[in-house]
Amino acid sequence: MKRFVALTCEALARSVYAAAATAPHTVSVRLFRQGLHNTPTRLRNTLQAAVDVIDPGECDAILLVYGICGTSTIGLTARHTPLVIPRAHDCITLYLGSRQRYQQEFDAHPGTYWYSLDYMERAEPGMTLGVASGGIAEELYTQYVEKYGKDNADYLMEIMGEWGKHYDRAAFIDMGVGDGQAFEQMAHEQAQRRGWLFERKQGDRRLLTMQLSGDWPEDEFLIVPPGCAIVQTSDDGLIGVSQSG
Amino acid sequence: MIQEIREAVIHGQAKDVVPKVQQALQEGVAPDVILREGLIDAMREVGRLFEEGEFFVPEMLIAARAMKAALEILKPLLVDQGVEPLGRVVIGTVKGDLHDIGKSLVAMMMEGAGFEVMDLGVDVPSDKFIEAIRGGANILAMSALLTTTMPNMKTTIQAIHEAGLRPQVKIMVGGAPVTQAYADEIGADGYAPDASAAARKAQELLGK
Repeated sequence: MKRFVALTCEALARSVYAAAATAPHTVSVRLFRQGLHNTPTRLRNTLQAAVDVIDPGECDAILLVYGICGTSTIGLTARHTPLVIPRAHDCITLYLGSRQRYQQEFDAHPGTYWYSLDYMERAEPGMTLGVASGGIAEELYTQYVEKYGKDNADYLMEIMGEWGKHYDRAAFIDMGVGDGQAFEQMAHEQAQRRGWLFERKQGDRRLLTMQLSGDWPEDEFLIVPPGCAIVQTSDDGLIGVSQSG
Repeated sequence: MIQEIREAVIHGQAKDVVPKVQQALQEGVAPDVILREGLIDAMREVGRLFEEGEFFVPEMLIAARAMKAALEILKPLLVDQGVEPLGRVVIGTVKGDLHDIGKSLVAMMMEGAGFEVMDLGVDVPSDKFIEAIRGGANILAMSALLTTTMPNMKTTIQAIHEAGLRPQVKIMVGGAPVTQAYADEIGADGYAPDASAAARKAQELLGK
């Protein structure tokens, strides 16, 4: 039996706890705020600091239960203990169980707005996914009017709101842990208001379970030896290691 | 008057810019002088303020909007005057990627620097970019906001190679997850971290 420390995002909380609870190893889970990914440098610094406070010998591996997350995990460096990270773009891959499945979903419907129980129940004010409220937009509009005048404020709101026009599907991922019915309903209602197609997707904890169980095939996980850093690559493996750190 | 146009552009006063440009033209100021000293110079200042952290994206957007309003009046006159653009840019967000704002801002900053810009929008497949290069674009600017869609920048560059068009176009890439290292790896000529730097990079790539 080995000891792992899993550093993960709130957006995966319930699924990671579930995988940790049944793993054949001793896994300590540390959660980080989901809003951090909006500023990749902050998430990267937070995770590096969390890696750095782990003492030598405290665990056999540090599991980064994250994707590239907008380059947030690129540059993270292993000190004395190896890091293990899935080859994934972001949490959607981890929700769906493989990057092939995410790619299929993405190719079929690039304009998908993803929802999940964890993401929604832990939403922070100002977050754009799922439960962005009208109140935030109104506050922003008032600020713009004060600063730039009504004409420009209207223009800015129109430009900033354009992202929504390119979306056509809302997908609620059910990870099979916890009762997400109320949130699924909320996602459904938002989809109806926006005129999007709504779909419910069954999540798959496969990758999470593999990571926490120490099952790390090379095509799905990257092991970062001590002294090495994570780098982005342009091949299908998405990430690699660099000696330079 | 030129100074007033410049100030109105910097402060994003689209409504004020238009009558001021018309007045300047009536007073006999040449369109290319208004373009250079009123608009391009203003957008350079906007870029500088952005890089110094005094301006943020909304300020850049409204300044670019004002610049565009003025440019619409000047465009036909510049053609009559025989003024050539700095270069011809085709820009777009790559296939599968629906992010618009950053790319549009780059397009506007490039226009503000004196380039002719063809904005193909979002979710642009390789063949559309290739068509534009065949149509005379000498700079291709591609944006990707997702690591999922970044590989499509590489695919597009390969397609341009295969079409035999690579020597005639400078390729630049950008977007939140894109880095200089990635740009080098996929064989792009340039990378810029923001819209202001992108306009400068485009000039640099054409040696201007």
